[in-house]
Amino acid sequence: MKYRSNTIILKKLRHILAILVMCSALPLFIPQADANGNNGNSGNNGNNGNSGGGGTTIGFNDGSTTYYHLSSLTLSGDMTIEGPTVMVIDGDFTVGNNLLTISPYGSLVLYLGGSLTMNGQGGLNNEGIPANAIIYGTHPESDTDSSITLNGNSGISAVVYAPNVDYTSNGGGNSGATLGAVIAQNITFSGNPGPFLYDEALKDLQSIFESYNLNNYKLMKNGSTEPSEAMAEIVNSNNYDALFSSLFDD
Amino acid sequence: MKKTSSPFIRNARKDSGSALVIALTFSCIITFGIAGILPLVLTDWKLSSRISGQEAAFSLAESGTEEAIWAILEFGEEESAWTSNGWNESVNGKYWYREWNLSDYGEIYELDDNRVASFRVLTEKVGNTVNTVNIISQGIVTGGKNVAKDYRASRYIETQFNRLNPFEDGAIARDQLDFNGQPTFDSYNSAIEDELNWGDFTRTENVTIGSASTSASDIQLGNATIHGDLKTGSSDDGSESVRGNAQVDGVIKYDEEIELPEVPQPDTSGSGWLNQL
Repeated sequence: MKYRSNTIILKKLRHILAILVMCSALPLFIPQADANGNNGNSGNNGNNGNSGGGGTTIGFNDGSTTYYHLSSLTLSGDMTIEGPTVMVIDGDFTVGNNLLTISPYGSLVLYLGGSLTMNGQGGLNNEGIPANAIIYGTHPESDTDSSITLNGNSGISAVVYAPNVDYTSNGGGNSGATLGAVIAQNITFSGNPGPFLYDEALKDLQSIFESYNLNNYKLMKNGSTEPSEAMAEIVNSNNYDALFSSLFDD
Repeated sequence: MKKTSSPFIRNARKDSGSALVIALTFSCIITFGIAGILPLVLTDWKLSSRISGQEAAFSLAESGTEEAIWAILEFGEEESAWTSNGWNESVNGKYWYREWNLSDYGEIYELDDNRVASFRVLTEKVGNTVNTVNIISQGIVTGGKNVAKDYRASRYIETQFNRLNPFEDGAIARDQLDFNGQPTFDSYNSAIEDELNWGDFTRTENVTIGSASTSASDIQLGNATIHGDLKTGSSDDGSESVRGNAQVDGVIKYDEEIELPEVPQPDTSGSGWLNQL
């Protein structure tokens, strides 16, 4: 009997404790209004995906990288990325009539397994530096359901590499634009979307593909003792004979 | 009594004199011929020896480049691996250098005619320049027959080894480009913009739009305006049908091979991954 009564007391204590924990966590699940008056959820929705909104800020501006692995993400309020962020989204990423801004210290590398849809006046990385928002589509070649779609006046300033899904810009107004670079299976521009502007700074973007490729092997000079401009800068010399003699003690 | 030669003897003397003249003439021709040809033959001989030396030096330089490529793929940015495999670091810290001699490889690079071979390589450090590594290789052959005592053939090859950067162009489709309406394609450079205002950039007219498809009909540009080049995997049939009604300011590049490897999802099994915002 004594044992039973203790058990009942313990159960009651656990129950009270559980209620206290739930009450303390409650504010996290209450939708908050952002500066634009949009309602959004900020917090964990478990397996049903994540919603970012209500002026959500993620990442740290101290240079440390934050890693997220989400089942899906719906942006129903503005979001700011303050620091380097790597995000893996297994499912869909939807941007409503909101902005995803990347601050001067921030960056986003997104690995997307589903669809990216941007609607209304939605914007992604609206600062105009596409290298700060890199989207890699991890879709297999057999994926026929996913897509990357810009609707309305939504704009994107990003680097999109998704060779197995379609990229569609259904812009109807001039404010929607694509800045950066796009690699996709099929690329469709319908109506009169805002311009596509390639950022030439991407030529110097660090490649995701680690291995050097033998197909990209170029003969720059053959038989000349004068280095190319690039090589002259590396070796601080304009003459191979002089350089090699000094290095190898001729 | 006066002795007279018989007609037979007189004829014989005449014949032997003629033969002597003919023999002398031919000897002169042969002597002058040999004297004239000999320098040419010697020059040719020396030249072929030198060409042979240059060819050997070129092959050696190629071998050096292959050694550098192997090291780049094997060691990458791991500096200790370079140094432990015989490479020396430059004073400015931007490149590695190393020398190989014939004896390192035994018979593989053993040259005939007492020639001695070596090659030297200088390779930029991986990561010093984004996506590229520059390599200089020198092949050297010294000595050998029919050449001056201090003969030395040297050949330099400079090569560039690149990492695949899919973002060297603007918009590339693996299959179809399908433009309806009047989209505009242009370029800018975010690295040189003083102030980045959305949509208000200095246009540089250097975009490339393209498709890896080998079928020209996979490119439907509509009434697009492309301030740059058009790239296609299809062959040039002379009709420029890929252009359609579009305005392409730059050139149309045919038979382009565009590599688009898949990107795997990163391993997220580690403890540092958050599953909520």
